[in-house]
Amino acid sequence: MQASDRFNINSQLEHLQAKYVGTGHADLNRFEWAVNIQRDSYASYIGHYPLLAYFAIAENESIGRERYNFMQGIQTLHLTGELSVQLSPDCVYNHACVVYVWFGIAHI
Amino acid sequence: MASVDPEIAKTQEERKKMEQQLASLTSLTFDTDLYGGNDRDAYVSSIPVTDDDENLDAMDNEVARKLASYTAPKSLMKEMPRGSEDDGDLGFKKSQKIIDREDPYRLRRLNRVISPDRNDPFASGEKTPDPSVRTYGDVMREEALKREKEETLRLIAKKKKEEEEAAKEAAEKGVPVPAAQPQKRRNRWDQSQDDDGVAKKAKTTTTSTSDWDLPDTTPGRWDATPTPGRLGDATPSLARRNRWDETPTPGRIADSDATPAGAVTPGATPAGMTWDATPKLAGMATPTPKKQRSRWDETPAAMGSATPMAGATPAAAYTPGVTPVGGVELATPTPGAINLRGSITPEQYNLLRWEKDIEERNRPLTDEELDAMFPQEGYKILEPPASYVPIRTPARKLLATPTPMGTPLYAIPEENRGQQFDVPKEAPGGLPFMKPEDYQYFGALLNEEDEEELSPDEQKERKIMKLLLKVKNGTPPQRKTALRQLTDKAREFGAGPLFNRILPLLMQPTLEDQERHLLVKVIDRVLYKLDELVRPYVHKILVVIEPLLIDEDYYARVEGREIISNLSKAAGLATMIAAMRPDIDNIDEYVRNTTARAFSVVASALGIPALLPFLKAVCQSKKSWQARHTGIKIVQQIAILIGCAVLPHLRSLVEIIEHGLNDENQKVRTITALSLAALAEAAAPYGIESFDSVLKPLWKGIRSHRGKVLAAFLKAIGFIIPLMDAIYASYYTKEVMVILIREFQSPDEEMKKIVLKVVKQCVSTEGVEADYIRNDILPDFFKNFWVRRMALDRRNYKQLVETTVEIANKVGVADIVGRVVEDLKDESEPYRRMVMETIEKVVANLGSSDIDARLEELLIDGILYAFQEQTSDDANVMLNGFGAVVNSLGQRVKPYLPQICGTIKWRLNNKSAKVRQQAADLISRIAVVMTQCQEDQLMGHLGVVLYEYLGEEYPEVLGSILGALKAIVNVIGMMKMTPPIKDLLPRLTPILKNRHEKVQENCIDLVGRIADRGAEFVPAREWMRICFELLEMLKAHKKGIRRATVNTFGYIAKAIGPQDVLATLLNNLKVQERQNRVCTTVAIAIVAETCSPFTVLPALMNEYRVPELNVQNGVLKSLSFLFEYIGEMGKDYIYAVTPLLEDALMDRDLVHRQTAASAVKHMALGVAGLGCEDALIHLLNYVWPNIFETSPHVINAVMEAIEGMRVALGAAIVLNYCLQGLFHPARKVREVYWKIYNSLYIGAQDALVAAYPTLEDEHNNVYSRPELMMFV
Repeated sequence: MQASDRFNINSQLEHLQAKYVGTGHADLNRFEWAVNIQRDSYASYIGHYPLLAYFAIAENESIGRERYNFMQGIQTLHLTGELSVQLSPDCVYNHACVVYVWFGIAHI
Repeated sequence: MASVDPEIAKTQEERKKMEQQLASLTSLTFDTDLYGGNDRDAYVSSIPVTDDDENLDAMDNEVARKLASYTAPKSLMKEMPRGSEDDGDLGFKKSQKIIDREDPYRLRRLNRVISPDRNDPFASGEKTPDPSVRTYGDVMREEALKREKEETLRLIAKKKKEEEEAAKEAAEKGVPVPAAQPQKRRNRWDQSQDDDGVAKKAKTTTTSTSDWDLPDTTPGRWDATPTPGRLGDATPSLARRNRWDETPTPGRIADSDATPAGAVTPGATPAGMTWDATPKLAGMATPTPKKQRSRWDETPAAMGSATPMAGATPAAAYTPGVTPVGGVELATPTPGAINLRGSITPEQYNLLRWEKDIEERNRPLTDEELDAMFPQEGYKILEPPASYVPIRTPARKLLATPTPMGTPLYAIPEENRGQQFDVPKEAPGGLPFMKPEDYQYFGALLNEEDEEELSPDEQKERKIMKLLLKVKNGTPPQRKTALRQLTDKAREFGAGPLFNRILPLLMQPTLEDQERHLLVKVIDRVLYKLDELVRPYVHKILVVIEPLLIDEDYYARVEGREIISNLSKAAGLATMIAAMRPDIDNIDEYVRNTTARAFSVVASALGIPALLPFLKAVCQSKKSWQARHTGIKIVQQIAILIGCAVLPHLRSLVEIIEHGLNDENQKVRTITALSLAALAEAAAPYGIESFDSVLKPLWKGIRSHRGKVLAAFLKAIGFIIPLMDAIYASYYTKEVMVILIREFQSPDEEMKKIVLKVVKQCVSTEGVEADYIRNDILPDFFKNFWVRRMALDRRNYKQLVETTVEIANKVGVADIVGRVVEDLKDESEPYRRMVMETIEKVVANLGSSDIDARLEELLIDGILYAFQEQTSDDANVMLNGFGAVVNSLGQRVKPYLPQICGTIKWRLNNKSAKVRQQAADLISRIAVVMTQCQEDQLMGHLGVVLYEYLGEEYPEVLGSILGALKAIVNVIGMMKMTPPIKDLLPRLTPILKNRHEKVQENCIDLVGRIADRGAEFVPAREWMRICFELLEMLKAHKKGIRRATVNTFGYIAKAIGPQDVLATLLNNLKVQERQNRVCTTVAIAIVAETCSPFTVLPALMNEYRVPELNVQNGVLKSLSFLFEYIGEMGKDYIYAVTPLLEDALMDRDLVHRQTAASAVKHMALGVAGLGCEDALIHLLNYVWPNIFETSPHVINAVMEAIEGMRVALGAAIVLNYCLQGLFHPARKVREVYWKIYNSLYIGAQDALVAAYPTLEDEHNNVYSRPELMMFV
């Protein structure tokens, strides 16, 4: 990196992006990305009332039940399966750690 | 010279050629047909994000250099201030030291001792504290002792004085008394007995003076120990100075091994003998007979240091007044390596350094040096003539400046030419540069000891010192890491070692603002980490931080507050109170003052309720009035500090201090009234019920008190009255007014100000009627205050004007103006100015409908007189007053207009530039009124006069004349303007070249106005000429000028059609200068906006075919601006410009792609949702391959284009572009794609949910999202 662009916005961009949960990076694996997708999806379902209503009709459940289920889905995302992928040993990204801690996995 | 230049040029030419050949062999060659060969070198390879960052220098610009300009070139103007800055580097730089800007009162901070650690009762629990530790009780006892001593000394002094007076009386009676000898020598011991001296000293301090404080305010009566920063020390002259002053504090307690015998210079006398021999007698009140300086004093301090103070630590607190700063902690020796510096003050050291430096430069040259300078051949070394004898006379030798570092005896100077005196000893281990002042603190670091041999504690100390030095003197990165380490390891280092190192540094007399800021920052961070460990050190820290609270620098005050607030949160209320309680009745007013302020910070940090019981106890202290005084002062400071947040506690705060109004001590009464004033001010407009209990004593008080106390009481009343209901306010105002009117005559300046303020406050309250003011207040008010003397003092002047305006708001214009209007013809000019300012404000506030015909006549007459008679040109008061009155009178001013215009015309012809400027300014102010009075003809006449003065050479005046013309044109219109527009405008064209900002702004405004309203009066050819001039103005510094210029372009293009203007602009794209091209592109875009894009686009796109880099880039940039300006309108033109953008996005040149990408961005954002997706996707396909660019500007533009596409096309489409690279095998590719993905995600997270790909499940992880497959 040249001295000139050490302080410009581009170099900070990635850092800025990493502050948000759900953003990715070059070392993200399939599982982590999928978790993000799932979480975003659940959040989106809950956020859009018509979608909830639609699911409720399709599943013959009440809307409140649907919302509850999705909420549980977000909370228990990490329980849907074991962590099937070995963590890469070079996991030095803060962001990844944040995600793992968020999932309650302490052994990192 | 002339013959050399072509040669040089030729050589350079050849070299360039060679380089080019080399370059063509080693790297790719450019298509010279397309890029035009060489001139590409001059181009920048990328465009910075901001446009105004370079090339603003007029002298760099060919065109600008040719212009005839009335002002000096900017480059020259820029040069000038720089020059004086450079001078500063020669050693005359203005001192940055804090100490140099402090007044004597603030300097008293240096008198304070960093007290020893105290016991932390929380940590020790139930057990009795170790006798060696200082407890709260100890400190309180010491304070009591000090007070008692002070009292005794005061009595002794008093008795002495009485005796003296008695003696004097006796002498007057004719009896000679030998005891009453006049004191010739300056002897500070006697100073306090000298009444005049005391009074003078006391006056310089900001504190009020009473007998009680006098001993405190004379600096250095009891604090015979020299304060290190006393200004007198800075001068190296040693003559006639008290020996006490000379001892520089830092090196005073010299370590025995640090100052070997014989090394001490005669210049800096440590005077070890006398000093150390009688350290405990310092408090003695009897004057020590001044000894003649004996040779013993000059002997090296070996003897003196044989009785080191080290053992005296506990005694330090008992010496009356003050032990030298750092005396206790600073027993650390100056290391042997720099043994010579130990006893020299930094100032002296600096002096030496310069001296050495000068000597070094003036020494004769050696043979070797001469050999090195001259060529070997062509010179011959001549033998000195036989008759030559070098001067070796001793007298001459003596004249040479002796180096004070040498021994006083004569010694043959040693030749050491290699020595570099101004380069200090290299600090080992990458430590930053150490200033000589720092040696006493960080000297130990220079000892190259083996770290392993040191004890762990010493190692720790060393580590702390290193880190602190890095923080203090290091480079920003060094500082940053050191600060972080200090913070992280704070608990490991421990509070004691840390603070023992940091705090003395803060007391260093040579500290600068920046250094103090950094050290304070260290304390702040460390505090946060140490938390409760800080308790024993609270007082030490306060001693150092409290002075910040009264610093004149705002940020220092804020910093101080922050530290104390954090400290109180870390240490807790109990510790804070225990630490500060003894200072509350300290004998030194300075200490009490800073303590009160610190307490108010504690209150705001921990909440007022927590502090209330303590405050109550302090304010009722029976023991000393000082405690009560400080307690009440704390309340005042709380009110000032937290403002309206006192409201919930207002009643309790008032109750705590109310008894102070009847205190036996007058100072306590005063501060109580001031505190009430502060509370009322903070609480306004609420909380009157809390003050109920003090109303009676206050109003009773003003009848019984006089002088300062009365002033304070009045002040309190002034702030309380506005809180009252109308009826009460009226009643209480009448009560207080009697006293106020009596005090109108007071000669005391302070009292005058307060009275004026209170009158203003009373008058502005609702319940006070106009009649009452008119009859009871006005006569005395005008008699006493509207006198010439009041106009001389700035503060009085302002206060008087404010109060009078406030009165006028109640009683109306006519009364006030009628009273002062005669004074417009007063002979004192400052007084006239004050009258004028008052009239201006009153008339501006209330209009002039109350003014009758007679008064009107007087007023105009007076104003004209005052306006014409003004001699000082500093203020705009007269001008503003004139403008305000004329505008307010409106049509009534018609009869006077001829006279006014006559004055203006006469003054326009005046010799003084200021007068001419003012006359022109006046025209622009009254132009509107003149049309109201139907004086168009008169105005036309003025227009002609102004027109004739357009040759004015002072730019400020020229600017005003243009402004006046503009005002006239604005009101009488283009048709009726004289001189006619067709004559006026050609005259303005050359003025556009003027570089002066005021001229430029007024001129472009005028031209723009004409272009807007009266373009048809001027031939198109003239407008074209103006277009050329305007291009230059597009790069003006001032935004207003640039904006006016751009608008003017639009008007002109509208008036004469875009073709010609555009041709000019497009031609301008070919010029070399970048700034000019950028401005041109903006202008093109503006023309396109005002005349519709279709009139401009064909020509613009045609210009893209010119095979020249600059032009093509200019076209692209214009397109980018154009699409930014036209927004939605762009949807009609996208398809037209797409082929051009395709080409640009595929160009080899980076800047092409960058500019095209930003054009695409603006286009996409403009047409979002307007159905142009097909074209946009097409463009996106061209933009996308550029995502791997590395040049910051290019990648920035590309990313922004993609963001624009996200808005226009939707996130899903861009996501599909992304997916191909998110898990690409190459990391570099993945990184870029994830970056795009992330900005996409942050921008439109929700929208992505529907567009994510369906991942296959693996093991028992369900990746698919079955919900989305549901179908009803």
